[in-house]
Amino acid sequence: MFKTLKFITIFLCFSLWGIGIYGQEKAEKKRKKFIGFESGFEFMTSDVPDYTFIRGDIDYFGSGSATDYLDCLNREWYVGLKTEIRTKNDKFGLLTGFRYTRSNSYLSKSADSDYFYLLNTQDAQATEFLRIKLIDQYSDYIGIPVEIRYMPFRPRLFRLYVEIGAEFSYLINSDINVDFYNEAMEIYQDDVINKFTEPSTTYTSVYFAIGWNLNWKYKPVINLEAIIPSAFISDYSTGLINSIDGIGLQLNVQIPF
Amino acid sequence: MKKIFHVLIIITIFSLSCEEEYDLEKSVLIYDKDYNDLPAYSEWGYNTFGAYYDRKVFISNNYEIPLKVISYDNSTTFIFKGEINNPADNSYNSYYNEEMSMKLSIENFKLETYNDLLLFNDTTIDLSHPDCSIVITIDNDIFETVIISGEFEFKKVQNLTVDNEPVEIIMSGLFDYQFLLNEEPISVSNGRFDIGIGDENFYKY
Repeated sequence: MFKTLKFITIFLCFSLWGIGIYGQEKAEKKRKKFIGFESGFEFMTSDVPDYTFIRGDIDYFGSGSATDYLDCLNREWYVGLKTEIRTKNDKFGLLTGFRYTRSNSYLSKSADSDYFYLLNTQDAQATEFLRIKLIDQYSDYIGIPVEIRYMPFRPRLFRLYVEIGAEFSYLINSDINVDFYNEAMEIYQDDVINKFTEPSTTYTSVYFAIGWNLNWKYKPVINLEAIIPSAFISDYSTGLINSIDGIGLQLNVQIPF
Repeated sequence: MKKIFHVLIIITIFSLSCEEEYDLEKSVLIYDKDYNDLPAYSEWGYNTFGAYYDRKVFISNNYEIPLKVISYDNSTTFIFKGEINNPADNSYNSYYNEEMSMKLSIENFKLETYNDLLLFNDTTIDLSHPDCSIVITIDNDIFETVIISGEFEFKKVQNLTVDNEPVEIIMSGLFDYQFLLNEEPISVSNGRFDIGIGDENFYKY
């Protein structure tokens, strides 16, 4: 909670600072404006909820929960359109736009074999396991990123900047697919899917980035930035796993207007 | 920096794939949150058992078959095999661990196949019954016991199927008893087991 508040406080301070400086600029300087296309990817650190319907497979001398030896990953890629307006001193930029994000998470076995056991049904007489190789899940989100960029150095061919941003995203589509070890078990696809929850309908993330822009006069500006890190400030579940934070890369191309 | 390291580990794991076979005979030890020297009670066929033997811990290990069920003549015998160790020295590789087995025999009861074990579902055996006997073996020393009191409860005995194919019988339950060993009373308490029985650990002759 403190971490989240700290992030929001820093974000607000940057905003107010940027707005303040923006307001103090002399009228004779002309503000730069850009419109651009962005694309990027992120790898998220995630953990597996303690599912009671997945059979544990931990080392005999190990410890922990039954899901410790499951492998999970959540990765995202996105494309978007953004506009940027800079302060007259050309040191701060405010960026916003629309972003389409595809999140792909999976759950599989991490050691010893290429499947895990999932409890399908259980009654007084019998227990039925299914062998699962992989559960793969996709979610599509539409989001609004809001970013503040600070360029401490004067314009040059390669210009360093730091950035803080937040993104508010809304789920528009999701799909889940189960890869069975025995293909004949496909008939249980829906039963397995129904054991998992739906992905989060909305989420909010904040991120910090460092980047370089390549400037040519009268030509598009190319920006390459490393997101280190991004963090979810709302609970975020892909439906399979819970994501915590991540790192990534983003490339965006801006045209002045 | 820790977060970056975290992500790099995940990416590394992602790039690896394992193709080794895995089967349900493996033991999976998940410790009990309250009695943290013992395996947690489960009904998954984790092939573990454990109990306090006075203050020591009698527990399955990863080397011995945890339970053999033997149907012989007109009796049925359950042999739990593992090791006994001191909770203060909880290193399982310690040289102070000793091999231990507990042999529970029930006279006048015979099984034809391991599927007959389903008869034990939701059944409690009174160990003070004259048909029951327990023999303890610690490091090749065999001790006949005189049971004072106790119960062996099969909470759940169930068929396990994997991908719609029958695989084994899972026996899960609890046990507690007291007995005399060389005229000294001993308690076995908080015992629990969760073991799969199939062709590899059921014997009839």
